[in-house]
Amino acid sequence: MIADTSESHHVIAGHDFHSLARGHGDAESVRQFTVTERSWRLVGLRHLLATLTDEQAGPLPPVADAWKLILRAEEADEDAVTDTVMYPQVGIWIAHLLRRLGGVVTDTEPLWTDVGYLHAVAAVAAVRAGLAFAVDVPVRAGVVVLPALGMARFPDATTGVATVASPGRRDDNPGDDNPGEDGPVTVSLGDTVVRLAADDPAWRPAPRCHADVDGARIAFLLDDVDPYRDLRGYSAPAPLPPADLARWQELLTAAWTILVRQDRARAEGVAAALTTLIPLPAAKPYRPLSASCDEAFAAIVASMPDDAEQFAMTLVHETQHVKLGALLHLVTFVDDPDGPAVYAPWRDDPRPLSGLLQGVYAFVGITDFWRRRTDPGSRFEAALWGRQLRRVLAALRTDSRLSPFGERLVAELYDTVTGWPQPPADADTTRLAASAAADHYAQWRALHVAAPEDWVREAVLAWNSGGPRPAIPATVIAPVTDTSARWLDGRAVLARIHLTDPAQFAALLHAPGAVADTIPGTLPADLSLITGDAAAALEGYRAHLVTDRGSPRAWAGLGLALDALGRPAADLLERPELARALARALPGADPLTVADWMTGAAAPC
Amino acid sequence: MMPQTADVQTEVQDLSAMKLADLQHQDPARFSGTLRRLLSRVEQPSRSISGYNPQRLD
Repeated sequence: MIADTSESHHVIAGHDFHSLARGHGDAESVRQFTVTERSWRLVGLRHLLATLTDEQAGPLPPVADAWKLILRAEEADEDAVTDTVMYPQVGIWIAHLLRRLGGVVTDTEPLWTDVGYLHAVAAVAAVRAGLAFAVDVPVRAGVVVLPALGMARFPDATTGVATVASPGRRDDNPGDDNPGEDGPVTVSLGDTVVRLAADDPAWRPAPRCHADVDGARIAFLLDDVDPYRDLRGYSAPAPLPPADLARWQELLTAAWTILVRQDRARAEGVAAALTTLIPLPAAKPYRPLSASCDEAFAAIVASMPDDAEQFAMTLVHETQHVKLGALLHLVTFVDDPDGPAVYAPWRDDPRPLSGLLQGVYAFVGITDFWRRRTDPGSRFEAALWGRQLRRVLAALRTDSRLSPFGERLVAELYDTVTGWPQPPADADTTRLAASAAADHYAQWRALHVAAPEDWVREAVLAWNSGGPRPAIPATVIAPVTDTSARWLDGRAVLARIHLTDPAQFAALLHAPGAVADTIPGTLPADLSLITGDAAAALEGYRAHLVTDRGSPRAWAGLGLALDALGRPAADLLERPELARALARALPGADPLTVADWMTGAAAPC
Repeated sequence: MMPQTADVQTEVQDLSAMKLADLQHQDPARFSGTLRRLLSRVEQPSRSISGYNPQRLD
């Protein structure tokens, strides 16, 4: 529990910090973040209000008038205003507008359309508090969005100014969760009047999802219309069709059943950390998209899941980010945030150290989810991510950029991960997980880490003179993001299909030349590697590299195939950037001979 | 290593008892520490977003 024992600063009870730092955190600990996040939100809001001028509201009423309406609402119903101000997208709006005002981001839309979100927030607060009021709000993309309440459509308008009004219904039903549902709240634009009522087709209330299992409840708003729901800046509403809404509800019921029955304490922590889900269309199979932002406490973005199990995993994943995001507002984990980016096994790109910590924290939750399950796919995930977590946590333990809190977080997470029993897995699953882990690291290095130019020159001279390979240089070059990096998990996806969907894998085997069309990030030779025919895979990667000498995917594959054949491959898998650079500098050399020379298995031709 | 059971003093001012109506009457210096932390995150938007390959959202 986070207790307010300090006169001026929030204090986290020691046992709660210990639990959170180990990657857990029960529902009560998580709920206390709503208190600390309110303090954070208020500071941001106050700074924004002090920065804005009345003129920046453009055709809308002055900023001060919108704020006064919020204060009137607070006087009538303080909880209603807290709920409104704490809506996650309000945090995104504050951050976006501060960035826009500070020149951190640019936007071609008139400033007042962003400023006017305050007026919409004021309208929602007033509606919830049951006030008699009228306030002008912006129309964007032909709609007026009232955050967390819903959307009024004005199909004949694109942008403009509408008016939200109510004669007040303070005494009607002050505890109603759906204000306006039976009241006379209206949104007007010219002669068009939209009532906040279920029977007005121009009003679309915000959809909600919920599930109850064994007395445990999860409930959240499915926000497909808020202007700031994409976590960065404005986006137009994209209301889901009824079939998609039904599918989300169906998946939630099944996912919640999995979570509650598998690990009730974690499930309750998930429910406490989530008030809003921003839906995205389905992503590619086995490759869900999800995100969160520390400025939007209790909100997550997620693509339509493949199935309930994936949704359950995503809920665990993103609520881990939500928890750590709130925690990093409170304490400092990284003393030097501007140091070089580092390897993150779950990303295509190099990450700042703080981002790696976020990923580690999320994947501790994810791996804890998978390791409790017994099907082949889950055992693959547990083996893969357990291996990857141990790799990065071992490196993090010696990173001097961590603060004392960061050192403690890493130590606690390391204890959690190394304290897990070795997950049971058959030989094939273990092989595929080890290969996937080595594969991702090798591709990542080949893409983002440059080979030292002097070493490449020396190696070319040695090759041309028939000498031995120069010593492998120390790793001193910081990664530089190659923005072309995509789908580094291609072979891992093939492994998942191999383990969980034999029919689909058989179909892929039937047309190997088309495998990349179905699974981006793969090569035909990968099919041989996954099925254990390393000799065929080796020839496939070699042939690919003859025509595409810089292919990180093929270089990593070549290393994996050599390793599977029991041939030396460590220098290829741990330092693939060297072989890649050397092969490019020796355009006539056979790639496999270069690889063997690199690993000490052969002399140059 | 820090002791595991000690309470953690955070760097965020506790405004849990403060109403919005009082917010603008406060001395800004009271919030300076928290505001500095907040603005340091606002100025680096790419560091605020986490998730599973969110770069693929683009």
